[in-house]
Amino acid sequence: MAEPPAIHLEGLRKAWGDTTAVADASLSVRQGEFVILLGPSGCGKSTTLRMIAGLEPPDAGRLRINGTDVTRQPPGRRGLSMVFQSYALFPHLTVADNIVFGLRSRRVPKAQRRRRLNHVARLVGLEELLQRKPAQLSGGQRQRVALARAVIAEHPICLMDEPLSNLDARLRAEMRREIRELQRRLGMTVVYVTHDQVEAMSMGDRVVLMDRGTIVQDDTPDALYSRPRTAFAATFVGSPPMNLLELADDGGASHLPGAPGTPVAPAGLAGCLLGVRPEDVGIAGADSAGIPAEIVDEEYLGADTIVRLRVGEQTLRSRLTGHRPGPAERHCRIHWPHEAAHLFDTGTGRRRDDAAVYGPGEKAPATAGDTPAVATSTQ
Amino acid sequence: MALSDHRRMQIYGALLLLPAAVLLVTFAYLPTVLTVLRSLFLPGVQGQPAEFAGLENYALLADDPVFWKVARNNLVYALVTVPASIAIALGMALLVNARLPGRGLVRMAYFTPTILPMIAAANIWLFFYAPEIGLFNHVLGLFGIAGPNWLGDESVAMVSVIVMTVWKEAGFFMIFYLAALQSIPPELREASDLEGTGRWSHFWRVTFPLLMPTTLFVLVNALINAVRVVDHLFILTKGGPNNATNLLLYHVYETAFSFFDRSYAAAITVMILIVLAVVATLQFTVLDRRTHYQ
Repeated sequence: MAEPPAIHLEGLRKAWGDTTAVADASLSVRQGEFVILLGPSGCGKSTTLRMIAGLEPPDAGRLRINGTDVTRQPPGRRGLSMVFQSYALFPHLTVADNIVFGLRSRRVPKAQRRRRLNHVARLVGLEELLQRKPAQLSGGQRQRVALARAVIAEHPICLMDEPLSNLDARLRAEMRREIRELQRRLGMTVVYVTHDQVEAMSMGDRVVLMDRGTIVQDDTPDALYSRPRTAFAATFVGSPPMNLLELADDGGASHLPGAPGTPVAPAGLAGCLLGVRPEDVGIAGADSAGIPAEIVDEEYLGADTIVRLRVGEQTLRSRLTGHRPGPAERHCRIHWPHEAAHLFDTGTGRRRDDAAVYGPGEKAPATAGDTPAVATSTQ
Repeated sequence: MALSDHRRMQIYGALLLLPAAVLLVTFAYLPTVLTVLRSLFLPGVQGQPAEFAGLENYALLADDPVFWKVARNNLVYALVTVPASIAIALGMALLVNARLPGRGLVRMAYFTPTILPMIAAANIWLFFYAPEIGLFNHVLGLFGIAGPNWLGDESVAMVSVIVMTVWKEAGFFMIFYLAALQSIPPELREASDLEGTGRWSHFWRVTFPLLMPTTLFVLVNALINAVRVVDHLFILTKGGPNNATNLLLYHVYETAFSFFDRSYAAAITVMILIVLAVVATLQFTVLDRRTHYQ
């Protein structure tokens, strides 16, 4: 018998007056899975989480937890815990009382409360701080208390609403690892809301990308990065974001405006967007194969260098490893392998896999196009 | 002679404190000292200089049945009005803090008594309490009940004064509770909900403890008001009948300006000051330790 999904959303919808926060969210989370809800602010990810928690009643749709319909159940009966962005610690209670607050609500016997408290305190490293008040703790320690409060309930499901956004960058990296570790160790099902793509990519088993109240893509971090379903997904994930270049069509093939001699895709794609990640854009000398371009400026970041280039009216970025001293001449040729290029429809922004793209500057074309991609430098 | 920098700063600081100090000394400390001194003298009769009497005024006070009756009245008055107005204020604040339709209107209605001067409020209630034509007895009459003489009957007069005071005070304290409630982050309620904590349990375990600083502040104010505000007595009962509603401050006023015994009035005033000082100290030392400040 197949195990029912831990959380199953079916067409959840929420609007406030004229503003639709969540248009139609359908999603299934397996037991023990770490799922990220990712998106810019106002995309509806927090509202979706709050509907799962039962803190916002949905206008339409159904929610099942472990196979049971809980759409109309109060939060306390859904068997889940939550970590809030603001931590929501009770300021007048000690760390210990904060952690066991829910156990007291559920009338767990005192001896068991103490045993579980000791266990959880050790788990998150708070043994020394149990008698302190939240105001006497640092941001990272408060975060741990919030985590401990969620973990001690021993609920199989834990919801997290941007739990790391109030921490500084170094602590955030540390907590990212710790939360992931804890989730694996306890086998919790976690739904984690964030707008930080680094958190999403590094922590999630699966990333659900949202934009303007709808789910844009629901995929593994790897698939989200390597095969973005829309132009929005392509630009939201990755730093610097994927280059999106408009295409022009001369009848025989599609090319970048301003570089008619180098076809990058078959004909009939005028106005479509061609996407290439900065790390896939290579730069070569002006006399080699590829699209003629001009270097605008360079930004040295330590491990790599971001080079801004201009082709016709459009600019794009290239990411090169190490420090690349600026070339004497500003003119160069750029190239990328054909499998690194993505095609998006202009109107809908959706990914198009129906047309083969070429790799400009490639030695041998991998796809049979109307025009071989090597037939380039014919100016 | 050149002043050292340190000395200069000290003078500078003292000068900054001077205006406030002058006002306090003139209008608080000096009158207090004069009152204490006056309570030690007998009033000078017909231009005779006042005669030093030691603690004679206090001895008289201890044997004065009227003073003890008034003191007991004031104790009852404080013990009923203070908890009652605080409890009602908290209840009203919780009600108008919830998402209910027309809560702006309800808030305003609850706050209106506070805006009224005490004298005006007492005049309104005088109309409610009037024996024949008063609102209360009129309504009771519709059901065939003959209402009491609210302000004239020795056994109910104090209750009438207390009810009016609570009505007047509760709206004012509600504002403080409302402000305190709105400073409690809503996530605390949500965190409580997720743990399946009931409303009642959440109130006693989270909301009430977080309101403690407000409760302390309101408590001190209510107690001071129970001794300090007697305006309504001038309109409603003038302390009668037979001192049944007389309160300490009104008694001081009567003694000093109706019976012209200002030394005796000074002795009563000193007693009030001592009791208030003791109560305030107790409140702040005992309750402060148990109060969480954010």
